[in-house]
Amino acid sequence: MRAATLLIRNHLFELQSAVRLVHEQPKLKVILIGSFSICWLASLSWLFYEGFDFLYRLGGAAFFLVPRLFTLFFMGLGFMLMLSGAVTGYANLFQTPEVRRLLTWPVPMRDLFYYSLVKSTLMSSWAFFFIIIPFIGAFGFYREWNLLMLLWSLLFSIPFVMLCSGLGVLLMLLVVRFVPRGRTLGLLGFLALLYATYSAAGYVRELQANQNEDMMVLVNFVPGLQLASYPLMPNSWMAQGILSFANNDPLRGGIFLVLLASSVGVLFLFLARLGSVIYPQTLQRQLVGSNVLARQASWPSRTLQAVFPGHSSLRAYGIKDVLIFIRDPSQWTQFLIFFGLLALYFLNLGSLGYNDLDPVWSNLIAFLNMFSLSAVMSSLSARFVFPQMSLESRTLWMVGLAPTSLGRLMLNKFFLATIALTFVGTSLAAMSNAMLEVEHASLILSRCLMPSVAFALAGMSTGLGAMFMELGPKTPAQILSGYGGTLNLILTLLTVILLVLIPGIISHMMVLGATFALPEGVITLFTCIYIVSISAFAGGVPLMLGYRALSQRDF
Amino acid sequence: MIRLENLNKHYGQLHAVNELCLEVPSGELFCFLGPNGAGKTTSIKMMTGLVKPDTGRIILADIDAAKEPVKARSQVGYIPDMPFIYERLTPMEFLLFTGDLYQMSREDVREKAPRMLEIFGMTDRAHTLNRDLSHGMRQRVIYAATLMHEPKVLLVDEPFIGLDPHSIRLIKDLLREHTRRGMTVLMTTHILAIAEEIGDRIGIIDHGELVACGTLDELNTATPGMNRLEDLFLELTLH
Repeated sequence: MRAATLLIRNHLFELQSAVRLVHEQPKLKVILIGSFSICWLASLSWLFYEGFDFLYRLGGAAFFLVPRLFTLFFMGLGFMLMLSGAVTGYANLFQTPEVRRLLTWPVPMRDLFYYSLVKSTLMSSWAFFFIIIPFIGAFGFYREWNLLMLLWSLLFSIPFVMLCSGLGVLLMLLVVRFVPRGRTLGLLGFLALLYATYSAAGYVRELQANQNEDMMVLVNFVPGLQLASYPLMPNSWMAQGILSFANNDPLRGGIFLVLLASSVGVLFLFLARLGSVIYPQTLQRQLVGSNVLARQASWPSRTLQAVFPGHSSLRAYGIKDVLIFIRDPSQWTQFLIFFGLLALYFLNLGSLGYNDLDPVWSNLIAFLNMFSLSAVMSSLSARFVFPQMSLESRTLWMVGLAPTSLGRLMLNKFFLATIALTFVGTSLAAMSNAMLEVEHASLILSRCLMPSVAFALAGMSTGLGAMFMELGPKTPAQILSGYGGTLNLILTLLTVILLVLIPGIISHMMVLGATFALPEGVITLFTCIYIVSISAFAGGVPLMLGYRALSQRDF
Repeated sequence: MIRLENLNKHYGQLHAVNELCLEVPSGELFCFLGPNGAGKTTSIKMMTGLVKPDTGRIILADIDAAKEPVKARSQVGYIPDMPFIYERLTPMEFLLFTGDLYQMSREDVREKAPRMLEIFGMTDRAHTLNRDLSHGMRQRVIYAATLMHEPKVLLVDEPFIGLDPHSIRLIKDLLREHTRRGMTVLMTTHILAIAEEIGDRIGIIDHGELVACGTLDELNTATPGMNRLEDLFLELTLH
């Protein structure tokens, strides 16, 4: 364990240095991150406070609803933590260059595993405190807790996040080690997983059938509530523990805290034992086994070669970017998590009964959905599109000499990003609108809005990426953390606000029945013109500036 | 052929390339020597168009690089000392990508890509991800990709770093072979023995100026008492 302790201590020193060097970071970046964190914590606390206020104003129902809300909240958080733990754990245990470097050092394999496990748990869980703190804080504030009680409740979060993140790492480790890589065996594994999910769903349905009447009504309203309330789920221990403190029953609360903490202890002991047995073989398998993957993944390459017509730089970059994207789990998992969660939520709008709401509400929800979709598109364009030109600077030895200009390369990147964002944006917006059964005018605005958002975000991120192009072997994170990356993040978010807010207000007023001087069709047309103009300006100007910057600079 | 006329490049106060004049005819392998920071890479980058000269003229394969940059670049292949290669593509996919980028017809690429991989002994690794290849194998892929579109001028920066004897022999033979077939090769190296062995002519650059240029015999004749290239190089570049 000595080596693991040394490595962890070394990381803590690095963290200390990073904190000390904050003043060397771009001021814009520090101010942006600081204000964003404060605004985030304040607005989320306010929202949770309003929610609790609403529930407690219902009277006696609150005593029935609040505990279930707690279990549901922590179940959602727990699943996200598991996912985060699995993704971060995979990267830390198998993918980082640090692991490959440490393999050549006199670090025992067991220590390497402990170190990577602790690192993964910390990395995957810290951000969740930005959700847990406002939730518990708002509840405590509403119930007029003193500070000690608030801190005591927050103490529950530590074993809970460790437990969920550790479970994610355990699941990932088992999948990576035991799921077969061959196509047939992989298919069998997938079918087994489907069967297991189906059986679990059947079990939950069976549980629902044995419920009292109130619970039945609530379960029909809130999917997943039954599973969340299951007494063996850690989220249920967390919820009951905090609520026991709130209800002046510290002994019961303490028992749940001990239960959570001892579960963490058992899980990590088990993980440590399992890791020391299977980690070395699994790591070897990962290090030498990618050739198998390459051969298996040759079919997308053949398909893309056949599908993309002609021979041009657009085709070259199209095929290359798609292949790299699907072969890099760190890229597609981010897409899958963000857009997958949104798709899951949109698909469930029907089962939540939102389509039966008053048109004013369903229209409002439709625009809020489009705003959240656009915000996710904005952050993903900042993450994936902005660094593209800087990353391509490493290939200038070949790309720079090809019979095409760098401006053309930038336009290729822009076209591909626009196509990808338009496809995702319009599909998900169509899904949301269909589920909410929104009115005709809103549907037209939505069809105009999503491609425009995609154009603006792709143009801005590509153009600014070219203007602030960084040369040399830099990672996307290093490129994003510079002045250009921060500016791009702010401007794309502002563009999303400008593009979605005004049409949202106009559409809302139309559904409310407000009287305009012009007919509704003309208002819709003018709104579409506004959207297209803003989009053309926000996307076009950075593209032109980027094009000019590329033609003027040395490499 | 390569013709450089009075090339100059400044980086702030630093005069990186100073009135550089050079002519390398077709079918010649020219070795460009010089200490670190002498201006070799800047000169090569100006020839590739990645860096713009402050003044001067560059003619590549009879094309003025300033007047027709795209046409000139299409005739040039460039291999830097530490080239980046897409790690999640296979050698075959990388060659197909290069073919599309250089606007080669699909039939042409399908015919040439496997042949180039065969020449470089990479056929059995054609579908392995580049990240799983050794440094030498990656270099072979890069040579295959660069030569696939048959450039008339090849610029190579330090071609032998980290290569095993087999790869060094393969690349030396390849450079000789392409030179015999009319390609103009300009190569920088710090391995003076290789310059002596394969260079038709040798140029030594120091502080941005070409301080010596000629065949090995011409250089020896011009500097009496110095029979080895190493002595001459040290004499001209030690200050």
